[in-house]
Amino acid sequence: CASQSPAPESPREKGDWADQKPRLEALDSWRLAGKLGLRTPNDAQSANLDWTQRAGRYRMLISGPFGAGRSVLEGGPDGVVLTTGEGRYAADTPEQLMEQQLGWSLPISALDNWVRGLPSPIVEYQLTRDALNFPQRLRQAGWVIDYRDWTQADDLWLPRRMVMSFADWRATLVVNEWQPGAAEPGDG
Amino acid sequence: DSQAASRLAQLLKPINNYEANFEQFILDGSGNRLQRTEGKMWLSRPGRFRWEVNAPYRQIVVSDGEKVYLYDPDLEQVSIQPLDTRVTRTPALLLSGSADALTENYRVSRAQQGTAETFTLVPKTSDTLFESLKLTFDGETFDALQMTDSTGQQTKISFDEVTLNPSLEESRFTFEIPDGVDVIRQG
Repeated sequence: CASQSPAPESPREKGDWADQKPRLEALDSWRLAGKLGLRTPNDAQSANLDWTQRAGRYRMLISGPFGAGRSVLEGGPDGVVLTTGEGRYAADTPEQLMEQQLGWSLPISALDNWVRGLPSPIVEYQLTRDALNFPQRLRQAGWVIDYRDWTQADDLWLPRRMVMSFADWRATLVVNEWQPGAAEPGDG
Repeated sequence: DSQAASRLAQLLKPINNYEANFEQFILDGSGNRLQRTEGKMWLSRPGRFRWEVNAPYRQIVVSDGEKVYLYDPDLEQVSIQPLDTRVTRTPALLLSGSADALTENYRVSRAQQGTAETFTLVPKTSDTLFESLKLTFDGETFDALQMTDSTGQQTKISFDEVTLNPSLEESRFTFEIPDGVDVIRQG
């Protein structure tokens, strides 16, 4: 798709969240391009994230500049495979696989909900809202997710910046380009 | 092999400074496009380069010949690490490194199609980021780079609006750390 310059966004309004929630919950395919920053007490890393989601299947490219150190995480109901520059590795859960191969992991199984501003449906959670009734802080499975900024794509408000913390570990996800509904490479 | 290597050295020698727009694709083993970025780059022998990604996000990589600064405005983070002068570890050095450093580290072969000459480089050492590397010159102008790793994943970079040996100021290859940014020193 030609990269259209982002239309001037009308500001978020109260009630927007309630109106779009059904569509957001039904959204099961997208592409997004963004940044992932990881911070632990003695280490910090940053990477580019290119995520394609198509119903229950996902493919995440984690890469540095020039595509250096890239790893591709592909998963679905039948398991997950991580392809790095050195080889291909499989495991039952993405968390286990990333921990083994990358030395860090993200709660991938919950991330496809969190990245839409929704809690994962299987575990209980606490949610506080901002003045416009949008999610502000979500506590779930030991994680605290702060939604710091929102962006509009195909008249859906989606998180643009979210900070996920667990104990002394912090991951910042910034989504620079959201393409809800686009699932084929080169879509949107 | 050595004839191809000397031809490559001959094509690289006139490049002291180099400026171009780039478009970079990352493809998986079966050719699916995983990522597309574009921006502008500047190079200056030996070992200095500036790589500015403009879309779909902003990112700046600057090498002053000793250190490499990776600045990410979205994450408000700059990581600084020593320049790994091994060409096999820092692809951008391919152009700004010396011609014989290239031929020392790679077996070089050459293919010609019309005005396009493509050099395939296979690293002689094993600790490299990629399994093979292709540099394409069209009418003696460097215009494409392709890196393939052991699982078939590829980084393809094409260059256009190329300026050979523009005069570039020092500031192009220095990086002023913006205040309030997280500085991470590595290595």
